[in-house]
Parts: sequence; structure tokens; C-alpha cells
Amino acid sequence: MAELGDLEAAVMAVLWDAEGTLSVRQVLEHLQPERAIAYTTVMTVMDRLFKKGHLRRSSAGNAFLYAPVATRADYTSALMAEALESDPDRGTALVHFTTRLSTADADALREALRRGRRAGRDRAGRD
Amino acid sequence: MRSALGLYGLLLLLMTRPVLHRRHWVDRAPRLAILAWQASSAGLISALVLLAVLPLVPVTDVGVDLVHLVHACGTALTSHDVGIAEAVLLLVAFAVLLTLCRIGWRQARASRRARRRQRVLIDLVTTPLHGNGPTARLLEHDTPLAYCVPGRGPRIVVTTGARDALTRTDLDLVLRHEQAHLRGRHHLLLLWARVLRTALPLPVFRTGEAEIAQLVEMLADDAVLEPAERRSLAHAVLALGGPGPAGALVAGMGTGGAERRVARLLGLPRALPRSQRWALAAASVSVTTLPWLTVTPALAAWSGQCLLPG
Repeated sequence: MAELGDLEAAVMAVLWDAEGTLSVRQVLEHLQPERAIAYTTVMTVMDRLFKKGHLRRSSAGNAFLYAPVATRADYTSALMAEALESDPDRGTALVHFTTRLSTADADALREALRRGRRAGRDRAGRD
Repeated sequence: MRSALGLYGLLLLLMTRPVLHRRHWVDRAPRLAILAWQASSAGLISALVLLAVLPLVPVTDVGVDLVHLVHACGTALTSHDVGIAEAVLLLVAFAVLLTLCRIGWRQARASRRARRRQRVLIDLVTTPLHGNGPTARLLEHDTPLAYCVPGRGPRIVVTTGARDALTRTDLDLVLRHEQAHLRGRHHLLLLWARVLRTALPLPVFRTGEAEIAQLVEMLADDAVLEPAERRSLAHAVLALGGPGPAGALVAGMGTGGAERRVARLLGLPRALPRSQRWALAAASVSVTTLPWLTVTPALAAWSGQCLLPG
């Protein structure tokens, strides 16, 4: 399952870099140098991405041509916006590494760190 | 017995903050402090529920058996043997429990959905953060940010902005900190604190939520114990929390507490003596269980004799 998710990301990356529509065959050619992968696997993954709404497709002859619905930047900003949103009703979905510091706090901490480092050196010197 | 319960509840309501907030031992034993906060809220809710339920129950009938308790309540209610005060108290207790369940359910669902959306997006646009296990992912973005998505299928996200602001060691320690969050299931503690505060907007729960949020950070910091590494971690807090160009963006990170946390990282707090740790743990357990002693048969029988002479 994790591998399939990884493959989805790889397929999206190929399509974002291509900046146009690609067929399953073309995506496969981009992926194959790095992965031993079958045509049907790529087809399945792209079909899934289409059904999930990440890709749109148009038919050309007897094959489909795929393109991303949104750019990579769109996805990234959506991700960042959600990660940084603070909606008290949304529960506690994520756990951030740190809170945001004010300038004064940051200065005080920088000073404390300097002192701490000096103290650490002094201790090391004594030992 | 009822006035004792009422007094007990009032005592917890008023004394929890003075006893647990801004105390020196708290920073030395964050895990016990979290336990104490939980014990206080559990004790408070227990006291309220028992206060409402006890008058409906003939004292001598009571065992710890929940089925008996519910049955006795039902009998008392249907026999119209309930005064106005008792009825109001029962309604309040019922409303509190209902609100807790409703808000708990809503917030848990909202968090779960938000996390699912995060995972979908993360898996599409991030790349593995090499050499840091399957959960660590790198996101191309200039805003320095590191966070974890807990729950099933956990992820740790580090932006390129954060990676570039940190040394290799700092980054490893940040990941260790986030992994400690995931391992410890700290999100459940945060969720419960949020639910309590939302359902019962009292000062004690407001302080409790803010405090648990800080204690959980300390707990995760303690995944790193070596003094030099703790200094690196403090440096990382400063590097990722410091005022940056994208200050307006980061409301979701919250504010406050970083100073206390860095001071603790630099000071390497001594652990509490074993005797104090045991005493605190025992106190926490008693605070929760004390109200329930009122429904143990022995005590009930004793109080029955006292209250009903002859």
C-alpha cells in the first residue's frame, strides 16, 4: 500500500514536470529507468488518481491522455494552509514542533543559548 | 455524603490551578504533571456524576455494581420520589456528560478528517527525507516548519525552509522529538484537553489545555537527554520558532511556552526523587478514586448508619 502511494507521487511528479498531457505509455517511459514496473501497474495507478480527482483525462484515439488537475504549487499551498490553520473547532489534528516566538522572546532565548554554550564550555574545561 | 462530594468537587475546581500551575516540580516531572491534570478532571467529573446520582439510590442497596446503580436510578425516577434540587443536579450532570461526548465525537472526527486530507496531500507532493525512516517527508516550501501527523499512517513533515535553517544534528533531533510525539500518542492527550475546555469553558480547563500542550512538548524533548544534544534541540526551537518573513502565515503554530521549554532544555532538570514521584502518582490516583469510595458498600452502609439513626 505504501508502495502504491509512493508510485502515485512519482506519477504526479512526472506529469507536473511534463507540463502537458501524457499517455500511460509516456509516463511509463519516464518511470522505467528508475523502477522495474509494468504497464498495467502504471495504468491502474493513473486510473486511481483520475478517480480520486487528481488527474483529468481526454481520449485520443484508443488511449487516454492525462494531465494534473492542479499544479504542484497548488497542492503545496493547500498543504501548508492546512498545516498552519488554527481552527479551534477542528480539534487537534497535527502536532507542531514549536510555537511561534515573538522577537523579544527570540532575543532572550538567543542570549540564554549563548550563556548556556559558554557554561557548557566552562564545564567541559573544568572536567 | 453529598455535601462531602460537593465540597470535594468545589475543592478540585478551585485548587487544581494553584496546586499544578507554575510549580517547580512540574517541569521536572512532566509525565506526572499530565497525570495529575487528568486525575483532577476525572475526579471532578466523577464527583459531579455521583453527586447527581447518589440521592436517587437507597443507600443500603448500593454496591460498586453499575447495573444496580442504573437500576436504582430508574426506580427512583419512575416513583416520582425526586425533589427539584435533585432533578436539576441530575439534568446538569447529564448535560455535562452529553456535551463531553458530543464535542469529543465532533472534534475526534474533525481531527481524523483533517489528518486524512493531510496524508493524501503529503503523499502526493513530498519526497522521502532520506535516511530518516519511512514516516519522515520533505516538503518543498520556504516557510520553516516541522510537524507530525499522528494517528494511523503517521507522517513527519519537514519543509525545505526548516531543513536549511537547521544543521544535520538539529534536524535529527527534531525528528526524534516528533517521533516521541507519535510514539507517546500525545495527540490524544491534547484532544482530551481540548474537548474538556470546549465542553466546559472554565478557567481550570483553559489553563489545563495550555499546560498540557507545553507538558507534552517537554515530554517529547525528553527523548533527547544528552546535554549537548539538548542544546542543539533548543537551537532548533529558536531556528524554527523565531520570527521569520512568513510570520502572518503561522497562526496554527500557536504562541507561548517556548521560553520555558528552552530554559528547561538548557538547564537539564533533575528528576524528582523517587519518593516524591510515588507520592505524586499516589495522589493522582486517589484524586480520581476518592469520589467513587462513596459508592462502595462498606462506606455506604457506614454513612447509612450515621444518617439514619435507629
